[in-house]
Amino acid sequence: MKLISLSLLFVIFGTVQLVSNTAPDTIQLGQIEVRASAIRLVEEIRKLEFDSLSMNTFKSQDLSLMLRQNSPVFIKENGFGGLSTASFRGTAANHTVVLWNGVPINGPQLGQVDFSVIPVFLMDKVSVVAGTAGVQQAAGIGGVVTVDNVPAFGRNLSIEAMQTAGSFSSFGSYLSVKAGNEKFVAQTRLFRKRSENDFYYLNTAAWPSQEMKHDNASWFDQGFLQEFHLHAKNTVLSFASWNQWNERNLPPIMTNVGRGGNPKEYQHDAFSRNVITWKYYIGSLKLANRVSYFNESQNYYLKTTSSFEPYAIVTLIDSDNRFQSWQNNFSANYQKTKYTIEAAFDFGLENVQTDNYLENPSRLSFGLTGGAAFYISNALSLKGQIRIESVNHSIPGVQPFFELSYSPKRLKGLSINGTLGRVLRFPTMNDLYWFPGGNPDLKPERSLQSSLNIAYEAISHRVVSKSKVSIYVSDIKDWIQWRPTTFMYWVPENVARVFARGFELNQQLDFQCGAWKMSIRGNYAFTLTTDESPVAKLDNYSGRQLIYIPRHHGNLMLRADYKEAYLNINSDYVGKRHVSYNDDHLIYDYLPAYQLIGIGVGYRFKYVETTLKVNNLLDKEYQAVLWRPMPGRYFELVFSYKLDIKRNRDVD
Amino acid sequence: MLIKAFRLASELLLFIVTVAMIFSCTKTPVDEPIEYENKLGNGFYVLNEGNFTYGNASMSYYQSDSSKMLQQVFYNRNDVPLGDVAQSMTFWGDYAFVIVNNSGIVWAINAETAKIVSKLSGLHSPRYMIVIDANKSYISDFQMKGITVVNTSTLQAQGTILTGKTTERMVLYQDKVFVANWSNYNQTSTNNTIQVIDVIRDKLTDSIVVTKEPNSMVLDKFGKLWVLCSGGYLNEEQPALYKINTTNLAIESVFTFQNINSSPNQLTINASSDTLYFINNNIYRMPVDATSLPEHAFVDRKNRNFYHLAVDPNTSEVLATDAGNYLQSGYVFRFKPDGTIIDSLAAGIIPGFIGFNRNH
Repeated sequence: MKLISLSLLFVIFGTVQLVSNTAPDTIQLGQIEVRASAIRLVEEIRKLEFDSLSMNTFKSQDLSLMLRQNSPVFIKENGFGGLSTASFRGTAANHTVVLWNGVPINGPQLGQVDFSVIPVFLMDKVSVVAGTAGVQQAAGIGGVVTVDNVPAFGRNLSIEAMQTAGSFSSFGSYLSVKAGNEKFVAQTRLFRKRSENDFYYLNTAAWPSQEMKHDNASWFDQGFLQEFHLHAKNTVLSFASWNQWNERNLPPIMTNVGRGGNPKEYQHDAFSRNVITWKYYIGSLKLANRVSYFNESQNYYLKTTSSFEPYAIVTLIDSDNRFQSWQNNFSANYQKTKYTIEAAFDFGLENVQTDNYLENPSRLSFGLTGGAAFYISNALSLKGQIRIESVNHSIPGVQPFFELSYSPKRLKGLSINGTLGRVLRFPTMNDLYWFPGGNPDLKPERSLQSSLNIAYEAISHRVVSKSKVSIYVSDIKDWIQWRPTTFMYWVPENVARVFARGFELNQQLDFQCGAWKMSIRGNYAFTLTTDESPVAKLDNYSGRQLIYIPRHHGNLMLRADYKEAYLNINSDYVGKRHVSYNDDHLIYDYLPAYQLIGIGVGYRFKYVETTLKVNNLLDKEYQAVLWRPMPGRYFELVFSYKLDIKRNRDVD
Repeated sequence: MLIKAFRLASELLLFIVTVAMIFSCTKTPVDEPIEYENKLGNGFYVLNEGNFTYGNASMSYYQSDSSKMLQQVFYNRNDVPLGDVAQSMTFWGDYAFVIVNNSGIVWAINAETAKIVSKLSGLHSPRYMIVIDANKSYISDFQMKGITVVNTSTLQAQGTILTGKTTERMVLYQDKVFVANWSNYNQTSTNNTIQVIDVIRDKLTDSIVVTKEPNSMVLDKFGKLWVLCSGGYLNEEQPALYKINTTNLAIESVFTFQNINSSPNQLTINASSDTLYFINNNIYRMPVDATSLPEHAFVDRKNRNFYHLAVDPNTSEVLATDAGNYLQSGYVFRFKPDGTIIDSLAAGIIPGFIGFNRNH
């Protein structure tokens, strides 16, 4: 309550608002989506939005699995339920920005997001945009993942409950209750999931190789998301509070299972993320403000005891990291049929408390964005945007962006789009202040990126086909890299110059054949990303693929619905990944490619739906990260119950 | 409409294949089968530490007769990875003990073939091992405030000598083991002492205060203990080289480095135990009867990143590893006794400890 009051005060007295809204503004009025027309600021062609098919298929899963199996984003997984990070177009995990209801949730210390602790159940809408140029936010260099909660106004009561049970003593319980009318809606979502994660695997690092249980690997996540939305005349006021607690034991890698001291190692995270959004529509003008307050903590714990008498404590690390952040975004958007003008202003304050820095630093950031888009002719539109950003009173960095789109009238469904832009990424707090090694003199990373995007959409009454091809190139200067020193610790420096290029393909196909409904979703990404800096040339590794980024990865999902029954088959392929800059002929220098296949069958009753999923159907042995065991074939059973009571008391 | 959709999908597939072929026309390395003879022959081992928590440590072996560096010797001979951070080796008779720090294990291998004989696991963070006799060896530890005592012949743990501090390098002289307390990681104890262990009673008997971070130690031909201290990783103190009387434990000489920002390490000595070598960016050489630190480098660093140092007891060649950028294979540089370079040999990731099988 205190938090809500504080946020409200901040909105009322702190600022006057006019702000940025990166995600396309969508509110749900009953079952009807009202979208802004005219020229969109993030072109649809560059965005991959997960449809209801994907959202429902992955509803009991975390976001990392949905992205891995349904997008061109590369997910690096440290085990089942372990840390999962996302990498776009040959960049690093901390180059991927995640926006929740328009607010970046990347922590200030590492700058990356763990996708394994974001339940799809908590979100209404998920989309990804590769290449952050043109985004009106403090952005990364790789891309943006947007997760949103969308209000659905209308007098109804909706209850959804879901229970999962699976291999390795994995259980999940989910509940959503939504109630409201045309003016007000409230929704509460709760979840709790856990897994012993104690699968057996063949430890080829043991002598001799032997089957072992995956020890000290259990995890437990729980949380709730509360929303209130108020709709009055031209105004929509929303409050969302996302609170979560994650407890994760940290298992050793396969080479270290014989380590002594009976190690107890875990990480506990907790966060409270709160955002208030105000939108005001008057004619062609939209004003918006978003204010957020995050309070997050992380505790790392390691305890070992003597292996021999007197069994005393040998190692005890109990390290706390906390941060609080305030962020504000103001935007004004004026849309007419032929043109759109927008202006945005944002600022933020982050405070970090940790044992790992000499002092507890604060960081103040400001950003100013202005842009315009207009039609040159009926088929051709041009957008220009400029963003100026400063952190802790640094010299403001300028980030221009241009986008040209062409939709020939003669070839309906075809769109061609080209972008050119410059993006900055400021160093993380760890880069600047970690002790020892943090380098306060680091400069922001600078990326010049360009892409050519082609989309073709063919729609008939029985078939919908959407194809997208993107070709991109990025030149990232002053890439921050931690390098060893003679003092036995590492120091980050602006040394690398990464040249990333490649292409992505996305195909969606839906068609109906009698009582059968078929859906196909496919993605493929080819990524070449190399360090071409003078240091890399001197050390003779320029031209070699960056570590842990595959050249090839892709996925395919097939879904067949027959009346109330359905079958889902998915497969994802991850190509060879380098784990060093060595040539490939030495072991441990690369991880071999792997392909996983999963299958699910389900049936919808009136209120109840049940699904059985088999993951890693072929029981493939593989490693996503060197010496991190992954589970073989495993199962998941999902029961869900959904009840919608509308205002006329009909139950549907 | 279905036909149209199929045609569209086919065209797309064709496009994917065509573009993938254009982009993927790169040279594929060819693995050549390597056949090993049973014995490794004359030469020396190189332990490649690998990256912390990657589990990619490896072992190289330089065959002096053929002038070849064999890679992945441990894996190729045992079909099992060496582990996570290979720290050091100790030779004893026909055997060599390989200490793998972050895996908490010690491999006992046949020193001539590198084949596994036995394994000790359950250690915390082992660093170095010193053989007292056939029944007793000590293993120092980066995290445990003590020394693990093991039976050399059976590699069975026997107990712990509590030292109150973590332990690093060890030197045996008569019935004493001198133990360097190098690190203060995750502990409040000071890391500026050399502790003395009575090997008969396995008891801590004394300690000598030196400069912070005593990182390496050797014995000279006069039975004097030389200790090199970096002064602390935050450059808290002037780095210094100590000469200590091993009988009465008195400090006989202190040679102080003028540059507080320097970090000298890897003190080593030649086979005749009359000349010291160490790394301080460059490689330096110093006779044990010198009265001051050397002013000029024995070998200039140039663009190399010298990491570990050894002197070949058979040839007196000076060997220095170059860890490079820590993310790709490093090198071992060989220098003649006069400092001129002989050659450089590719090793593994972060080449560190160099071990000589004195049985050869």
